[in-house]
Amino acid sequence: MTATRRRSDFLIFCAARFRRAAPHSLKGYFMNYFDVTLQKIQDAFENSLLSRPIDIPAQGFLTCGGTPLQAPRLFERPGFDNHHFPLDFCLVLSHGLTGIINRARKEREGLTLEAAAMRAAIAHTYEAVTAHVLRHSEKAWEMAQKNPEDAKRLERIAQNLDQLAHSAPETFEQGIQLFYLIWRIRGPYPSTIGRLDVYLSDLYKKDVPARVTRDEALCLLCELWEKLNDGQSGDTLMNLMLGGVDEQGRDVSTDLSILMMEATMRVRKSEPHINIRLHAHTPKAFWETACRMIAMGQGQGVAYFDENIIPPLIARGYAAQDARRYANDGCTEITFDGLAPIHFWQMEMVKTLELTLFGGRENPCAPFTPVHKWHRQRPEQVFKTQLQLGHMSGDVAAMRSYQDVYNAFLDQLHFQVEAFLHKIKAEKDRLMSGEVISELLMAGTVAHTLDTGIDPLRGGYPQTNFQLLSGSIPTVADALCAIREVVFKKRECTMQALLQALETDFKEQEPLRQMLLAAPKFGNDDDRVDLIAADIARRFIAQVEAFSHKTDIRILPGLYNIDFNLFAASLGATPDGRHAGDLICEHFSPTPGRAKLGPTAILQSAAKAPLQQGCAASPVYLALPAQTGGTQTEAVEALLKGAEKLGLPILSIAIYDRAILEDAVLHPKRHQDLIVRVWGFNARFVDLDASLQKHIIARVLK
Amino acid sequence: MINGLITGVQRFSLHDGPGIRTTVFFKGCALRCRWCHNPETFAAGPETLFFKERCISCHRCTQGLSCPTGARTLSGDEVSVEELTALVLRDEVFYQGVGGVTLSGGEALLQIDFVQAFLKKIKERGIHTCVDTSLCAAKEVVGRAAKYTDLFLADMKAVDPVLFRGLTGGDNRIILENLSFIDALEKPFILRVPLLSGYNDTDAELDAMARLFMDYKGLTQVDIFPVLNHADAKYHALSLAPEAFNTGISLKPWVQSVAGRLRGKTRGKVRVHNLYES
Repeated sequence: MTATRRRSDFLIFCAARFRRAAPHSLKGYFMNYFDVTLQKIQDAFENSLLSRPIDIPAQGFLTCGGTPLQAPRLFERPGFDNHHFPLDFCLVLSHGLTGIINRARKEREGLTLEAAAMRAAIAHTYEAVTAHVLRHSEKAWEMAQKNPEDAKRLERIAQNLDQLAHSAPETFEQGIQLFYLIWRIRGPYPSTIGRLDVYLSDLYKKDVPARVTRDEALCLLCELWEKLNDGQSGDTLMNLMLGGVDEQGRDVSTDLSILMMEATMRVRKSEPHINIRLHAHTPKAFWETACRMIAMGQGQGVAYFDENIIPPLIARGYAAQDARRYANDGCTEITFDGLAPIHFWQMEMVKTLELTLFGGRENPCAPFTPVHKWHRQRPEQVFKTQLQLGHMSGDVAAMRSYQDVYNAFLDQLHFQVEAFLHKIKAEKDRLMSGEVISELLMAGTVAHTLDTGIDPLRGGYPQTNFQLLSGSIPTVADALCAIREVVFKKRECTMQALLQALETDFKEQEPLRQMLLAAPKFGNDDDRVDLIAADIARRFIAQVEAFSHKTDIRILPGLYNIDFNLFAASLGATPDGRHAGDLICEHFSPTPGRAKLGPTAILQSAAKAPLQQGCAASPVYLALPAQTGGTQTEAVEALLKGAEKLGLPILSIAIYDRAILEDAVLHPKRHQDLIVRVWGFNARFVDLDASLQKHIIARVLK
Repeated sequence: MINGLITGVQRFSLHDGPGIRTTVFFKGCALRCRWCHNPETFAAGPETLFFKERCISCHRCTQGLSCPTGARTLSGDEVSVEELTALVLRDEVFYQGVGGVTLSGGEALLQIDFVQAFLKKIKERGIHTCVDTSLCAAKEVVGRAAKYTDLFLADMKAVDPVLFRGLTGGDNRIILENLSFIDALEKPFILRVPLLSGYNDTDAELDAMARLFMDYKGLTQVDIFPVLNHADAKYHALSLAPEAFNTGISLKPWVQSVAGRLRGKTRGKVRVHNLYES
């Protein structure tokens, strides 16, 4: 899935026709493409605010929620904002609405008319936001007069809003309110949150414990957490990153970071999805709370290791202070907090192997089963491959050695990756051409855009973030290793016989399938297969890098996939002994059910690949059985520390009771509160598509 | 150098000593505990296990070919000290000064020459070592292992010699002597009580255990856990008949009550740890 979309042909036509036309007044008869679009963006946003109901809650202090959160349906607004990257909330909270308006309105000389129009539109947009705040405050004052018994609370709400309408937030509560406001009106659906503990830390330190007790602050966070849960659970993009280093490399975590983990343990719901950054100077209290939160078992607290993530980003040209500000996308992908948007593409690795084996075509037994992307209430879809069919990488049936088969796979891989890289380059050229204009709410959080009117996409943001992701390499390695062991070493069958068995989904070939299954599998610390996975990863990364070097676009490679359940449902049988439609692996983790030696062996298998160089995101996901007992927290800590030393960049540890998961499949009503980690998000287990439930159960280690 | 015979290596062991550990299961045992979870370790030599439920009737075995499903597997791998050391060192990064290596079985002390060389080698790397043993061995053998052992894990199956013999086929006088011996060596040890309803949960047995526990200086903890019938498949695979224990009782409250009784009898002086609920 790309995070961007081609606009309609009509708009492209308009762009071509009017881009170079002389700019005229905003509302003039000869409005050019830029002005028309800008006006459209501004109007659409303003209308969306006006259509939101005034929301003064019956309890608590946070307002401006409006309608319940909807599941992400991106690209409904005319401007660009794919919601997959965090906004610069440090700027928002330090400036306040008025500060942003004033900065955008400040006289500047030498700006183009387009730039001036951009700044004016931003100011106008934030004035509309201020009016929205004032409508709420008016309502709160009115309600306070009518409800004397609740007046104190309502007045406090109104005072907070008045402050935000006229100045920057002064208190922790006002800071949370402003964050919540901007985050909610960014769209009708949720977006990535970013480093919330960093954004709010100054206001927290100012208030707690001087004016507000720690417990009151915790209650406020819990209220926010509950509000984030008022829509669907799951792939809501609500990822929050805690801790890590600051721009100078010093620990940035505070008591607020710990409090946010405590709120997560108290609320125990799927949102927000918590991620933690760990490094050599992470305080002990942060470590301990993080391990307790992970040991809670819901997959909350995906660990990012600064020392294994930041240096490779710097090596790719990111300034050290920018690299140190990394957070994550709506899923696991690295973002640069308030410094860049994100655009990512996914490459299907297992399908690449299928095309290799079947002469550029798909396996005839591929089932193309319709599945839900994740939530059962979303429409089912049949996944169609995004790879290019028809590339012949050799007649595998006639090949006489494993090396020939492997070379054919590498040829197919090279072809498919190159096609994606050119696609990404074309998209970058489109974004740079001026055809696309950013959403104004987003643009108003970008300092350089506020000053110069330059669109965030075209230099407003100091950094770019294009990514090509491909996970599922371990399943491919399992398959290639099985070919080497069973066909070419043990000579149990010919390549031709294997292909026939794959075409028929192993019909009457169970002994052969069992032999393929018995071949070495990734996740068991076995070099025979792990080194194949490492080699594929290395080549994929190298190709992306080489393309970046020879063109003007920096593309980050990642060993990561979302949608692996969709991919799996459209794959035929594979040489690892996998039936058509069966599970494939996620990210750089073992194929579910194949790792037999426990989590340490999995981490060792993964560490043989250059995961750090897959710097867009190359995570390993573990699911431990719940029976690990009272030593669970200590085991989590030892695993995290070991993984960090092994050089892994990202590790997710979930802990599940397999029997409970199995019972939840049969009796969903009894397990409404069961939370699990899926690809880059947490969700209620009972909401998930059957294919994902199966995947999650199968990956619990025995 | 002599080789060892093992049935397997379990990585990420959390219940065989402190921290994350790698546990090596040695083949061969002098006892025949009726509830043993590792009956494939009884015999001192390699043997074939046949798991009927995994067989897909492909008849490859009748043609002398390997079994693709693992229905027919050989238990007992010969390893050198170097091989085994390299294997347990793979997880060194996870031991972090707390975890380490545990020798279990079967009875590791039956292969003392190998075990001593192996323990020495891993102690040289500064790795924490545990030996999980029945202590049914000559004192001299226990002493040789103790030299390179940081912590012993030993069972307290029953104190009464007649009961002990009935449950295990062995003589617990040797075991009790060895316990006193490692205690005199000032080695720390954990005692584990496999609970067998109607056998070792009587007042007389628990009283006798409690008296012993209070005498030991090196005893750091007593772990109690109910014997469960987890290993039935392995008994069938060895053509042995598994025996059922602790059936028809509510395990959780029973284990809790035994823990309470032991704590009372030791007047709170011994740390009694309920493994079943941890």
